[in-house]
Amino acid sequence: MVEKEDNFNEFLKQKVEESHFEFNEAYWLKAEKLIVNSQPKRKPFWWGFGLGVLSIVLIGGLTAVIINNGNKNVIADATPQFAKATLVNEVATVLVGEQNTADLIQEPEINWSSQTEVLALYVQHKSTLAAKALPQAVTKANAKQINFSAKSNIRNTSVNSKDANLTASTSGFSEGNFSQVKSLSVPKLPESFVNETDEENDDENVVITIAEPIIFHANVSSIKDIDVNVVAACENQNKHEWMFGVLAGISDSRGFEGNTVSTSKIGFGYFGGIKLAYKIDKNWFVAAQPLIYSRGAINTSIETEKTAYDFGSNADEFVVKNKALVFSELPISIGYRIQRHQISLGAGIEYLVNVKSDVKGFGTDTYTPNQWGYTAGFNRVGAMAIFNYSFKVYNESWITMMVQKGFTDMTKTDYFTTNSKDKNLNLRIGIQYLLNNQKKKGK
Amino acid sequence: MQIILDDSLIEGCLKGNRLSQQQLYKNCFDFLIRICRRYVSNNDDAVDLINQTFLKVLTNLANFRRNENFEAWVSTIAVHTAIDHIRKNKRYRERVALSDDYKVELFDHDQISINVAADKMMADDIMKMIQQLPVLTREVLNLNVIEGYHHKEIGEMLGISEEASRWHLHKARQILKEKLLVNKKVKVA
Repeated sequence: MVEKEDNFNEFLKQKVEESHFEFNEAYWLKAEKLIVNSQPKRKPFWWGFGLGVLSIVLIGGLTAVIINNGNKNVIADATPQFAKATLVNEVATVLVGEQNTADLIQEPEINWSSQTEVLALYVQHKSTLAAKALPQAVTKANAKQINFSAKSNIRNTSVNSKDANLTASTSGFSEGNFSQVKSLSVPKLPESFVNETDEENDDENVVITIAEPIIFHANVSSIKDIDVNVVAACENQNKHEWMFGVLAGISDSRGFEGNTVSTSKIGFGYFGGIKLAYKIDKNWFVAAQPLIYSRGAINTSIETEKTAYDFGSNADEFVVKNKALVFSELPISIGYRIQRHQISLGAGIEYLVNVKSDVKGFGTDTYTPNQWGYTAGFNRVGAMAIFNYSFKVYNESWITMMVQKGFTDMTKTDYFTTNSKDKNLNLRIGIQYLLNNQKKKGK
Repeated sequence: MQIILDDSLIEGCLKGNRLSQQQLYKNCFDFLIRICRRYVSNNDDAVDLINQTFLKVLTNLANFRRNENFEAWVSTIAVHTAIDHIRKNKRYRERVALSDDYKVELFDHDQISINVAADKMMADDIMKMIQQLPVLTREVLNLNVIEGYHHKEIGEMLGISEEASRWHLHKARQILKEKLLVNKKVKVA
């Protein structure tokens, strides 16, 4: 039986060997298609570049829209709130003795953005207020001292803030560049507010000083500012050993008031930049990574104080919001890449391009000269150190972690109080994918 | 059967030269078709199997050592590709799942002398008979009779028991012999 089986096996093998199948060119074409499809499609160099630029534009544009919208709100809201705060408080303060406060405050449907209505309200209670001998506006000298002198004819209904130096005083990360406020509408003030004419001008050019209601300052003892950035990076490594990358991301700023996490403030910004690296040998590389980024913060400074005006009202709440610091930086680092790990160390310079805050509401405080300052620019240069670690997770996908520390307080002193510290400590965590990472054969 | 191969052809393929690849494909085709046809039920599938095998050959060509036997290397790739291909087949998986209760009854049931009938048959007819065998039965026959694997190895490769492998071989031989007999009677008639 075994012999028969062996014979049968041999017979089958023989017949299989003898079988013939004609080659057809179509078979090769099919195979060729399979080969072509199996080859990884290399995305062109500009693909990564374009993606990065697009990310920056999108993120930057979105941030700009948010910031600009914030400014609009400031312009639109500030004046009515100011007017409401001052006039209602003034009137209410006076009328408290008359037991009519509730009626006044519940005055139906007052359009606080309408100067006519506000003025009418004031005029309505003028006699009462006058009877109480409303306090005078601050003197001209004081007005100069506090750097807000709104020159306007009494008949004008607005002043332009370009003529006024709106000042912000901060002692932390709540910086303000209020020159961003292009126009500030001030309600028409009653004549009784005018107590003095400008000696240098004729009678029709009356100087009105409305210092207190528009002076604001923050008094926050910030000690740190840490950014956690999410990075999405595309890199291209070409055969000439140059590596080009585009980075973009959002930053999450966290400031700490009084050194406690519980009162920390969080805000968002964006950043974008490019990375150029040159591979020295198999493992070592040098990289320059110019970046521009903004660090934002929401509600970086909130203060509510009750302070009596010269003319008898209480101070109202003011809020400085949406801090945005714009930096540019140029770190140069040297790195070592081995297997799945990459470490780099570097140093560089950073430049504070601008600081901007939005003012949501106006208030006042007892102003102290050394808390004021001019936002004449933030062109400061500082030094920084950078440490970066990357881990190759899969294929050409990497997770990167970066710590960046600035050594220069970028927003302190002249402008604000001596408590200010903004020595940036940035933590960046992100993912990056290397595009067209061409490996040389044999390496 | 030998595949015509030289260093320049290999180098050309390694560099991605399409003409070299085409030439190697042509050189391998006759060798590969004999293997692949046995594992599938029609020639179109056989060509697909060849193409998949050839793609693997190209991809791994850099790992091929020149002092090795190229035919053996290509054959191994082809057989494993075929097995992978078949294991993905749904009907095959269902068949394997039901294969636990095979009882092998090895007995010399056929009293047929195949010599006269079979010798007169064309090789392609035999190949068609093999192709028409049930999938798992066909694979066992190929791996055991043609490729020379033992039942234990076949069991591991196909995910079946050794007993099941023996049963399928027996079944394959039985079917083929019956077909040969029918074919003989038809021809005689």
